[in-house]
Amino acid sequence: MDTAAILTMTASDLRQRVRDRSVLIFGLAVPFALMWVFNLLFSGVGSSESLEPITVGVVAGADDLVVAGFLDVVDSIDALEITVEPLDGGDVEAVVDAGEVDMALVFPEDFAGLVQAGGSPTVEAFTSGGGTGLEEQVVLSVASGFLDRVATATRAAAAANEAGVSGDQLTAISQQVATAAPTVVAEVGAGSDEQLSLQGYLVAGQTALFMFFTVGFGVIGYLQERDVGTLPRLQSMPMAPSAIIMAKTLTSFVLGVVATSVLLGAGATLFDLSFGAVVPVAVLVLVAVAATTSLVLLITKVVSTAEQAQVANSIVGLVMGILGGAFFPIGGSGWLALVSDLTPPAAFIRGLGITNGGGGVADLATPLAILAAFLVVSVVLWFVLPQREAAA
Amino acid sequence: MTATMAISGTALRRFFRDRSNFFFVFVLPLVLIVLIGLQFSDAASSGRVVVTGDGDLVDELETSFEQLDMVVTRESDVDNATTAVARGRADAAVEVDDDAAAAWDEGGEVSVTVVPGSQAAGQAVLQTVQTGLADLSNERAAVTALVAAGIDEATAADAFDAVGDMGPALTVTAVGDDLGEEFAGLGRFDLGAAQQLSLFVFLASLAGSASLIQSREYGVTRRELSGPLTTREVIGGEALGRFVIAMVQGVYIVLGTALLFDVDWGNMAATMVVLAAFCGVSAAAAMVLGSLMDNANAANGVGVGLGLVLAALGGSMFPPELFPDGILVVSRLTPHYWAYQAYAEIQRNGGGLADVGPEVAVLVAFILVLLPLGSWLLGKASQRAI
Repeated sequence: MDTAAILTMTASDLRQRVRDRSVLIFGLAVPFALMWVFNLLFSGVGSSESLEPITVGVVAGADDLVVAGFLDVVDSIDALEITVEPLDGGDVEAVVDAGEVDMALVFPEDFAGLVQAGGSPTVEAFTSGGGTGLEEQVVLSVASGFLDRVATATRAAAAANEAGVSGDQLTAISQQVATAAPTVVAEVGAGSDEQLSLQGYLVAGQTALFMFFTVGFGVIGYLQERDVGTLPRLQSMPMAPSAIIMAKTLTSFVLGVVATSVLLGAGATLFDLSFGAVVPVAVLVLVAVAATTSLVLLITKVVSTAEQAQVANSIVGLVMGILGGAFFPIGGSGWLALVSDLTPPAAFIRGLGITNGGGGVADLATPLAILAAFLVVSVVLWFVLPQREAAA
Repeated sequence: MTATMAISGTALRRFFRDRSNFFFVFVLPLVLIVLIGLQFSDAASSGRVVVTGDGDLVDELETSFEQLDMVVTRESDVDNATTAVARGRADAAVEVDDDAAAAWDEGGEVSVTVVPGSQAAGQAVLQTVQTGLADLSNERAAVTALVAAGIDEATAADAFDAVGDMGPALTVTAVGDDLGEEFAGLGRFDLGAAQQLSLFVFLASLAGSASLIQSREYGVTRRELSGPLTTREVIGGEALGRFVIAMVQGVYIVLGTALLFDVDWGNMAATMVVLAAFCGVSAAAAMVLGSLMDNANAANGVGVGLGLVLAALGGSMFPPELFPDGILVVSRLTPHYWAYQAYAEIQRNGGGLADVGPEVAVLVAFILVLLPLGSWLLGKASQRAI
């Protein structure tokens, strides 16, 4: 084994890659930019951390008991500061559109009377800004829940009436239903240990995706040497010809491990995350980079030029990344989920979920097995397949 | 003009001589559109929830959730359910333990555990789950009140069901933009196809910056400029070649998705005009990048990075209608945003050429800024060593 020659060529390649800045751009700058942009885009969605005060215009008849009950419920909400602004009808939509109130609820005249008579009056809600604001959603949810409860009370009274219950008991039944405590409540439980936060998922996904691009700079260099004519010169050196491809593979591996470690470390610092203990994360990174390197090595065997290898590498990387859930988790079940599970990025993300939940190396058996399978199959195919000749 | 055409012809020949480019231009976009379409195949539902446990409560929860348009799957193992949520296979898990199931059967108060996912849909599904639970509570309260009035339980439940929907209801009217209406009528692949169209055309075009750098490396550009040609003509020729490649890819995606996935592109003339304007911006951007940078590898990296970041900001990955206001300001600075708005007008509102005029004008403005900039930068680049 020409260890010294391999190390010399590796060091030379690494210097070259750092000098032309391509590794820094592809391996670090681009994934960071994407993590940052995705975080900006997604972290505001569904977040309940910063509810702004909201003003709700209410149109209702004076002294309406049911509306008064609703306003009591609204008043009891602590999580959101709601200011109720009585409106006197007219063009409510224009009032909302003009921004005088954030949203409005219009109860029909004599709402309580209509409800008690068993009618089906409609309450109109007017929302601004597309009705997607979290504050508006909270108010709508409260209003909808209250009206559902009132509707259930009305239905119960109607059912009692049908069943022959006397008239004076109907109001009591209605009130009993309207004021009953909820019998099924939800408690938000702790997620699976494997559950990565939104930011954790972004960091893991982008790191997995760009691993393909980063490791490509090493092994694709073999074809570049051939394209520019420096490969025959290297082959004329007093060392085994296999030392050249080994040096390129080692370059890929070193670039992959360094870029992946920096991305995970910096992502964790930037978003205040932890992916778990160092040893299992390190094992996962080493095996994932090895599997990805072997896949790119295989690509170099089936193309003719470095340019083709770069395009093929981008294609395989993007398809594997998207299929493996590097941008969004692949939903659903069945064959798509199975195929997704078997991609290196999915195995890498899943592995980081396991280490995030405190898992050790032994717990990583499934993702490591998937990555190892990619490694073995790619290396075997690399040995078996003939090298494509250089394009004329 | 002849020189410009000759330069663009050479760029085209060089591009299509490399067979791997066929895959990148023709196969990859369709593969990705299928993947994204499959991913959002449950988008019409209000969410995907996994329910664990046994007994009447679980059955009733399943019915209640399904009435709220949620896709419900049953799972016997709690760990499997939470793992499914952790891995994005479900938006929330609802766990009914044995105590809760028994308490429900006895008419007592029940607490179920809900585990929402960390993705954005998780919080929305949590709200829907709570609505489903409230529906069950209401029904239980009604039956309890009827039983207390002397009706036996089975008759009470039947009588309550027989009454049907009555009582007050809530209708919601969105003043201004209504997201529900915005996306109404869009097919499974329609939104994704329009978004991917811009993403790929721009990404593939920026990769073309490398060919301009190669022309400079091989000395082709220097030789061209030594003749009676201006940088404007050289950039024009290279950009025209890139524009034709982008248009071929774009038209192919439009026709391919329309035929294979039944994507409704609306008024085809208007779609083609928007596409042409966007391809023009993409080609001009590639010229700026190719003149600005001297290393093809580095330009490739910047191209992929810019392509993905601008696509994300411009709404090619996530609808800008759902962006926070601050991001929307930045989004408007990207060409993707204006193309998205134009396709939205055509696909959702049946818009024609006149309706997308403002968006096309903005895209043309991008070209008018980027092309002269590319020409000026090429002039500067030709004076430095590469």
